[in-house]
Amino acid sequence: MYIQQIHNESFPVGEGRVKMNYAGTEYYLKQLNQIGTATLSNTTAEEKAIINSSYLPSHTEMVEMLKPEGNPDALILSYWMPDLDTKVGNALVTTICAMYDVNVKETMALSENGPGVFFSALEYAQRALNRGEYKEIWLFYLNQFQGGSEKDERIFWNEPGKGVWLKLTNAQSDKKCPNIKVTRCKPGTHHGNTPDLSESWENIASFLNALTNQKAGESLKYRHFNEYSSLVLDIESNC
Amino acid sequence: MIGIEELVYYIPERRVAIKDLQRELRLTEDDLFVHTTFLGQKEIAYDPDMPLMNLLTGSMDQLMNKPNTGKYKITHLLYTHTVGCNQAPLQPLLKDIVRKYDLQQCNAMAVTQVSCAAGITALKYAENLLYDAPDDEAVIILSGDRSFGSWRKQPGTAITGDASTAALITKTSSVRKVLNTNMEIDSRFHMGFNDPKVLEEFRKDGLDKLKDFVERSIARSNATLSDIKLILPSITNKSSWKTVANHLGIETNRIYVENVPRIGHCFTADNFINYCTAKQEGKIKPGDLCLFLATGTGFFYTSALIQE
Repeated sequence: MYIQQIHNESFPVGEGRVKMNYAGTEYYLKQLNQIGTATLSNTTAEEKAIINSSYLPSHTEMVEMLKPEGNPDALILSYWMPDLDTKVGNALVTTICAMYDVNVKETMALSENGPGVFFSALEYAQRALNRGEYKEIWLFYLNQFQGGSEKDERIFWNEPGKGVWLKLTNAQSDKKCPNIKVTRCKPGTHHGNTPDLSESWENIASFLNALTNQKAGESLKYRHFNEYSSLVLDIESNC
Repeated sequence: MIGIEELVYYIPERRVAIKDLQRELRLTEDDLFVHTTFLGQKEIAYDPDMPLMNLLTGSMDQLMNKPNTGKYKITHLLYTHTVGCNQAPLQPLLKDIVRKYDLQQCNAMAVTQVSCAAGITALKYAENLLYDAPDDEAVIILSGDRSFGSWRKQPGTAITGDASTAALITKTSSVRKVLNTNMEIDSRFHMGFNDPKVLEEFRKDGLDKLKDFVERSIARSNATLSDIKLILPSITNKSSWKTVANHLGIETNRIYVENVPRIGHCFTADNFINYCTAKQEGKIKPGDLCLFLATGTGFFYTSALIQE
């Protein structure tokens, strides 16, 4: 498949614009509290202060800043941290359709797959385009670090967020663009240990930056270790 | 073409009568009357002490013990749920499921944001995932939410319950062939129906759109409504589906609503549960055409045409 367009935005903490949607995080925490996977009481004043002083855009704002354009047949949204813009009764995927007045045949929202969910979405897009029913797919990868939890302890990150939008097609256009391929590495044929969470995220962010800046004649390779299993995905992009 | 080679469901044994939930769910006398008469709800499968993991493994245990499941390489596990934030992000239960069932070469992920239609859309995703795949590859669709908090009550529509389903999707299945899947989006209603004006707008042509969608979906496989033995919808309520049957011009008993008084609306697992119980009751015979049908707020129309 081909990357016809790629837009990549970082969302540094504390650079103004809109203050983070604390109500969204609070809503999310309450949901977790109700099903017993986290307790609100562990949220410290210091953590609340981090949240309140941090700038992070909402997912909808991130999409807006990525300025997607075109005529997609399908729209895939992938995200690591929970999407707080989708609550009871609405869906960010259709909000995007409304924002850009696009009439897609399919939407997909992928999550709970670790920071490498982008690669899972890419693998899906490749298979969907191979089937031949779609000519253009929009793929979003949105990460905003507005809150996580680890066992009984609440942790909050104030790392920069990242948003990426790709326009993927099954055919090359007039303009030369990168050909990207996702393959599954055969079990036992790779070496190396699964990187830890933060290293994995940093590596992924670096690769996305490299992909955005890929020059003609350049070849990029990335090996992604799935966080949940022994699955290894090899990504190769040739421009 | 894909098929649902194996399909199992798990519903906790505990049942609660709607009338016994009146105080807990703050149902007025009028609410109670509407839910138990017009909407046709009676009992809910609801076990607040059961962790979500146990609800899901209730189905997964059964599926993984089926002899056919062991014949395939499971490449993807699609976990569908309606509730957006149903677990903490760094302690995802899919990681535990992958380990428990030794699905080490499987890409496990959640598919959401289609509300209660996520089970059907996962069939659509499986069509894409398996299109180019070898015949020995398969996808598992695991569906299930635990009812909690504000999700327990959808006033005027349904009281929700707990259940899960697991399906083995293959290209070689000789049963439950998926003839086609369909999804249409009406993004005018992307923000839901909290605004009464928006709801009013939706009601103007919502039924007509659903009728057109159903007819288009069936026609994609060169069939007509008269060829459909049974429509298997979400287990929301009886009155809405009766209205839909009337609008489609079909007998009300061709939309299967038998589970409405038994278990409540179990989110994305509904269509699969309906298939299983309708089959057990002898309402689906080999060769019959059935239509999985669900709508999702946001707003989605989804269907899957299945041949037993």
